[in-house]
Order: sequence, then structure tokens, then C-alpha cells
Amino acid sequence: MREDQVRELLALAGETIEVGPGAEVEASPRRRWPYVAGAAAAAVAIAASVAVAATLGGRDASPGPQSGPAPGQDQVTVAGVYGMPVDIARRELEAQGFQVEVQHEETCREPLGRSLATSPVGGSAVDPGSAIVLAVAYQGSSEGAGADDALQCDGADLLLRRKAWQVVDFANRWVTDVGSHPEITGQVGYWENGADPQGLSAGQATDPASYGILGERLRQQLALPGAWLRAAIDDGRDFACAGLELAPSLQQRPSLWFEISQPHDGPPNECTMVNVFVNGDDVPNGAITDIALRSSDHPLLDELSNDAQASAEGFDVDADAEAVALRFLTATRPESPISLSPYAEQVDLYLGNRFITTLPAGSAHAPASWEVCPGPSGYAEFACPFNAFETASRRTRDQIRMSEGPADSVCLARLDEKPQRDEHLVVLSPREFSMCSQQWFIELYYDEDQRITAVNLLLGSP
Amino acid sequence: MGQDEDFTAYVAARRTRLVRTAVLLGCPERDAEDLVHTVLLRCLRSWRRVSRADHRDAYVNRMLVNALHDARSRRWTGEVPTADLPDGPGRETDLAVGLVVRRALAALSGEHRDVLVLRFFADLSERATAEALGLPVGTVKSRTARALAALACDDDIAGLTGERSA
Repeated sequence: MREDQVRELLALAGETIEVGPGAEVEASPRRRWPYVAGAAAAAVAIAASVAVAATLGGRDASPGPQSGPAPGQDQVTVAGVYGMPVDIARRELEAQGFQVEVQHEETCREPLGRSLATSPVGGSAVDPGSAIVLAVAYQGSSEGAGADDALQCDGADLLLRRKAWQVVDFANRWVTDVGSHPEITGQVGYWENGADPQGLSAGQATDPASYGILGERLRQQLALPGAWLRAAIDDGRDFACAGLELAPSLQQRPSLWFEISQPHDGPPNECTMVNVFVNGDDVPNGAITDIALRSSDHPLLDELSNDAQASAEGFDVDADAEAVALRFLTATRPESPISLSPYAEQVDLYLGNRFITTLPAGSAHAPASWEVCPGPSGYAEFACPFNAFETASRRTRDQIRMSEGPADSVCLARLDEKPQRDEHLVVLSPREFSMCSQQWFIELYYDEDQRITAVNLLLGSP
Repeated sequence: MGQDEDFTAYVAARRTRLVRTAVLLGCPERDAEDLVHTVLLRCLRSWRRVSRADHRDAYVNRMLVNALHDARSRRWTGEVPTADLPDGPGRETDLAVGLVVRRALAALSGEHRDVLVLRFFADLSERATAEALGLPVGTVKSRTARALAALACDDDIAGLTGERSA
């Protein structure tokens, strides 16, 4: 069949599809402020916008003191070491000339010995020879801790993560004593980004060099600021990733999948996912038979190669969501000149996905009314009370990341189910990536009139 | 030309083609305009990045393919777009031919359909198709050859190409 014939046939097929004029895609996203009507109100809004910019330290404002030093010739960019075994991470940082201090963090988020984060965080430009704190996961089950001191973690969840990290270790030749290598005993099929599969002999299958870009891509993605790994058993439903579905022969087969994600402005467009198939039905145990990598290029990879720090191009969230978030941030400023309320008549407050209380009508403007304690759940008891109002008020606009949630981060593992709400959602979090203990997320639910109906405060290390 | 004007001009020139591309890629016709609208909104928010791309159409089509696959994994699993074929003697019309082609496309695997539609309907080069699908160029070439062979095996298509080249 000739190509010109196909072109002709497809053109005829296209002609059978009627296309209407379509809704206008506005070149300048319009912000609907339904209660601001008329020219006079518009003038108020313009003035308010100027005031918002002034209050929040506008998008183009110079970075504040918390933004970190600008990268210069004499400074060194801290490597991203999330997920590395502690020995590998320490070696990587010491090779950069840093003084590394390892601190154990009791957590169930990662298996024992995995690097969680550094302080200053990866991607920061710091003076040569600086002291770097490397936080490493620890469950209190070794190094002299008694059994009573050990954290009670979900063993099944940690097992999945351990298996996923084994694949990462293997692909990167990170030989350590914190995790054994994955079980590879025979031939393995390797599938990379939709290309024809490679059949690896038993000898090739145990050589990481046989697996194309697998190791390099995982390492790149993990080194991005704020990266985290999610692992689960895929029951065979398959998720499209990077625009690619699994090959038909792999579909409907259960597998261990893990994904490297990054916080993002706006909706996620990038995806890096690995599916690991084993012989038999006992996933993730068993010997590996197939590995499939699907990965799109994350735009930060290019940006980071040119600039040591991730650039913020602005907020890519929906214009309505941005308007809601900005009005909330403005309302948290005591000096705010804005009188337009961002709130619905009643606002439901959640803490760690758990409903706490409903703010009575008209009380949302009083900072004290936002103070909540978790009650008997145990969530964040030691830091009680919380106040989303104050949390947001301490940040300038440039220091806030907005995304079209729900909030998702390794720091938020094992929380209750998300609030079952039908409203729109925009999520605020610190733009600067940091250890879980310094992370927070404010989920703002808002209605069609852009009024905030619920606020869910999530803490990285409650 | 400013960014807004640039984007507006792009939409005017490409929207119809993008909607039709979405349908031929497997999007239900009733959802195609919404899907393209969503993709164009995303383009707008990232227009600086889109307009800097080496192959702007490849970039936008990649977003379209991603959006289509994501939507399919959420909502359209198992749904194969088909059109009601006209009965009787209407097949000699271009409309009927087009519908036959759409049915044949729908019967192909997603991999084959994607590469044929992007190469020969969206008019992307092999390299741009590779970028849009996140594949090596070599894979696009081999997949295109297999897709053409698969399409040629369709009885109706074989009849059509026989008639049209006769």
C-alpha cells in the first residue's frame, strides 16, 4: 500500500468528521470574579490586583532571602540523592566536596537506609565544602534500638518500595548492603518506550548495561527537586504513561509498577513509569521475566542542564484556580487591603484529610478561628494547634507552588482517604523543596463562584 | 507577533485538523472537541515552551496523544469508535469511503493507528512523529511499515485501493 493512497484515504476519513466553531480558547485567560461587576468594580479589581502583587511580592519580584543564593562560579549545586542507599549518597555528596552528616529519620515512608533528602536540598547552590545534612530512613529496628522502639510500619507497603528500589539499585549499579538485587534467573524481555522488545539472554539479563536508558533515566528523574517514588501492584488494568500503553502481550498481567513523580505547577504532563513482571502470580516476589520502561522527558531536565536551579515560569494552573489561591493568600495577610471575601458562607476545615470542623458563617476572616487540633486521631498531636491561615501568610507569592491537586507527595504516605468532595481544587505548597518535616500542603476546594468551601491542611511530617 | 496573537493564529490554523486527528486516533467524536479544547488550553498555559519547540506540531500532537491516552485509561477503556456505515449504494461517495477508512482504522491496534494518523493525516515527518509518540525514529519507520501492511489487509481498504488505482 502506497503512502499517497493512505494520505488520500485518511483525508477522506477526516472529511467525515464535522467540526463546529468551538468554544473560544482565549489568548488571555479570563478570570471570572462573578461578584465584581461593571466598570467601577473592574477598576477596584485592577487596583486590588496591584495591591495583591504588592502584598504577595509579585511574580517578578526579586527572590526573597529564603530563595537561596544564586548559582555562581564559586558555588556548587547540591546533588539530588533521594532514594540512593546511604553509602552511595554520602559518596556522591563527598565527591562534590561537601562535609556530610548523616541523620536518621524515623519514618515508614522508605525502607531502612534509603536517602530521604538533604539540607540544603538538592539543587541548591552552596559554598564549596559546606556542611550537608543527609536524612536517611530508619525504622528503629537496628542500631541498638529495642524492639519496643521500632516503628510499626506497613510491611506490605515497604516491601513494594524495597522491590522497586532494588530495580533502581540494579539499573544504576548501586551495590550496597541495604538491599539485595532483584531476582533475575533467566531470560528477560526489556521494553523501552514503545520500541520493539529486546530479548535478553540469562547472561545479558544480569548486566545493567543491557537495559538501555533505564538506569540513566531513573537516576535523572530521582535527582530532580522534590522527586518521589510511588510503588503499587498493577492489577493489569494498565495506565497510559508518556503517551504509551503497555505492549499488548504485557497487558492484563499483574506487575509491580513504580513511578517517579515530581511536584509540578499545573496539571502533570510528564510520566516515568516502570512495570516489573515476574514469573507466577506472586507479585512482587518471583523472578523477573519482563521490565517495561515508559518515560517522557521532563522539562526540568533541560532547564537544570542549563541552570543549576529550577526556574519558575509562572503558575500553570487554571486561571480560576490561580485567582482563588491568590485571593486566599491575600486574605491571610493582615495588611491586606482587599475586602472581597474568598470564602463561601461556610468553610469546612480538614486536617490530614480528616474533617475537623465547619467555620461558622463570617468567622473565616478571623485567624484564631482557623486553629484546629486533630483530636484523638494522633495526627500531628505534637504540633497542635495548626493554622492554615498563618502557614500561608508566612510565604510570599514567589515562594508558593500551585497545582491542580490533589496533593501528592512521598511525605503524605498512609493518610486517610481524601475528602469526598465534588468541588474544584487548587493546592498550595512551598516552592522550595525540603525535608518532609518542613513540608505542608493546603488544599483549597472551591465552588463554581470561586468561593472556598473547604480547606484541607496536610503536613509532611505530622 | 506577540504570544497571544501567535497562539490565536495557531488555533485558527490547526484546530479543525486537531479535532479530526483526535477522532481518527480513537477519540469518540462527541468528546473530540472538548479534548482538543483542553489540549489547547494546556498549550496556552505553556505557550512559551510550546512555541520554542523544534517541531511545534509534534509537541502539540504529543499533548493530544497523551491527553487521549490518559482519558482513555480513565473513561474509554474498551470503547472502539465506530461510525454507522451507510447501507446500500452510498459507498461510492467520498463520505462512505471516509467512513470505511475510519472503521478500518478503528480495527487496527492503537500503535498502528497512532503512527498512521500522525504520519499521513497530521502530516508529521517521521522525526516529528517519533517526538509526538516518544519513540525512536527507527521504531516509527518499522511500525509505519507494519501498520500500512495491516491496513492493506483490510478487505474494504484493499477493495478501495484497488478501485482507486484502477
